[in-house]
Amino acid sequence: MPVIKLKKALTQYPDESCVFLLSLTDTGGMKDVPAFCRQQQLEWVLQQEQPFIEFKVWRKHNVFSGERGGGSK
Amino acid sequence: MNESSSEQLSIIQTKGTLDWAYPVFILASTAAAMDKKVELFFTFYGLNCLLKDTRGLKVSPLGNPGMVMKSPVGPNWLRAVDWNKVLPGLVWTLPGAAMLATWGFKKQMLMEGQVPVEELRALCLELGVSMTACQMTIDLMGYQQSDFIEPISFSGAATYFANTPKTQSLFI
Repeated sequence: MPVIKLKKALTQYPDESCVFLLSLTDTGGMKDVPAFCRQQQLEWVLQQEQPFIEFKVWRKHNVFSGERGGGSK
Repeated sequence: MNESSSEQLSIIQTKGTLDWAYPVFILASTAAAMDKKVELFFTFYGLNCLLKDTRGLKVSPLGNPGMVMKSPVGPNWLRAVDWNKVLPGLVWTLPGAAMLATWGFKKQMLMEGQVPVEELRALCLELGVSMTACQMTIDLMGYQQSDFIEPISFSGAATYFANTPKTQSLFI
């Protein structure tokens, strides 16, 4: 589910400058989100693991010009 | 057709129970989210997964020894018990057992953050997964095309193979 919701958010906000914040309850996402990002050529960083997993994801050419949340469970 | 096989996925779904519907739709939606071209072919009991009326999608521990059946409600000690290991198989032949198991399964899936199966298959269609129902088995089982969700296509095995000549296939 996290990967699918991220994909939907990516389609919804096609702008290069978008930064997506993901909060997950699904621990499988620890490996799935990075794998998805690798395949889709996205950059990611793990923000925290507790109490829930949080990732920041953005498109490769973007240098944090603007922030926009795209939540995902 | 010049996409390489790693960019395509096809699943042949022959099972018509809830515990078999979920894995197919989860794999399909994830693959589609990763830009793979996904083809699903539904035949025999797998047709159940495409019906508008999903009440026929059930799950039962009867003849299903791999199924883990735990209570989604109650105190922790109770939720830890796998009833499919503890109780004799004969119990699952009692009236209402399949209904109870289906209720528990659905509740457990929702607690895991999954969506109901109708929503999941709609999500697959939205992500561009193409679904085909086998016309021969539709006739065999006495269904009408109007019994099925849209948009799906109806054809036979030959059309399916002609459309997916180089695709990696899973037979489920």
